[in-house]
Amino acid sequence: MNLSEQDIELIDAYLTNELKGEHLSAFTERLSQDADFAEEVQMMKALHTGAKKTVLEDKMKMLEAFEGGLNINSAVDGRELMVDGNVVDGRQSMVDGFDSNGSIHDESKTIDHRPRTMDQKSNVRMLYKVIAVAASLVCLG
Amino acid sequence: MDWISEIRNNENAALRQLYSLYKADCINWLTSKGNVQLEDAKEIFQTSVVILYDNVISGKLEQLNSNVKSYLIGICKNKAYELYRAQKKTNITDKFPTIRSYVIEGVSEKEELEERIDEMTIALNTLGDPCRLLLQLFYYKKKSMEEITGMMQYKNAATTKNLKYKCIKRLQVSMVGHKEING
Repeated sequence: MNLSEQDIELIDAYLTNELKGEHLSAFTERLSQDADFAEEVQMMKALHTGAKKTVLEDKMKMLEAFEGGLNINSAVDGRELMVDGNVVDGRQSMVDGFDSNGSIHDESKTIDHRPRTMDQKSNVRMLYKVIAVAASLVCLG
Repeated sequence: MDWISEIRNNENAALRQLYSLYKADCINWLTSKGNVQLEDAKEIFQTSVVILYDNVISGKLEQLNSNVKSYLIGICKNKAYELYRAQKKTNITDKFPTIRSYVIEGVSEKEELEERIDEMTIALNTLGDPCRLLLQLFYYKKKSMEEITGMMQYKNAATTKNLKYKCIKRLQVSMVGHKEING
């Protein structure tokens, strides 16, 4: 499969009902005859919906963290959740994820300097509590 | 307060405020009249707030005819509760099954796309930012290239457009790889 930039625009226009007349006819004809293209259209459909799903899941994470009493702006994955246009948090590098050559910074290969997550924080708190109780018992004993 | 504008302009703060203001009423209804356990009621209420948010962002809700409390509790009583009962019957290991059901519900060709949407969610999350954010802004928030350029502080709209293309190519590679591994 070789998805071109033009094809992406074309598929986006189709999926948002912007294709009309002969453009639409040509598109549907290609869709019925070109299996690779049909596969790409399915992938783009999944992207349209998948983007929505990830945003809504981010909001659920945010509310879960809020329920847990956590300051949301540093919750879960360490960045402002999510797409309210007020980007960002302390990880300014996120918006610089593409370098000046236009190549993509691969976040998954970066050392993680993010703030501790909720679970990690509660684990540390729990450890402190255990140590405090143990120290008290030693003193009393 | 104009909640629609609040959600559009300062979404996270607005959602947190809605959550604080109406949590007790909704959870109280679910636990007393809906016979739902407290932990489950919390999940249903969270889903309701997210559905309200989606209705505003997608333009389905442009004006509130009743007050926001009635609207939110209405979702809580019906929509989210339904989704919750439906997901309890299925065996899906999604972290947020009610949100999954809600999103899939709105898709035509559900059967063909369901699995692919789950794969795409994983691929987007694995891809991480800035690609994930860029694609969320474009495909969910319907922001223009110019708006995204400003928000993400890129050089110009042409650069942003090119980066969007690169992100989609990376997603495509990831999706094809996933398909090959899983047959």
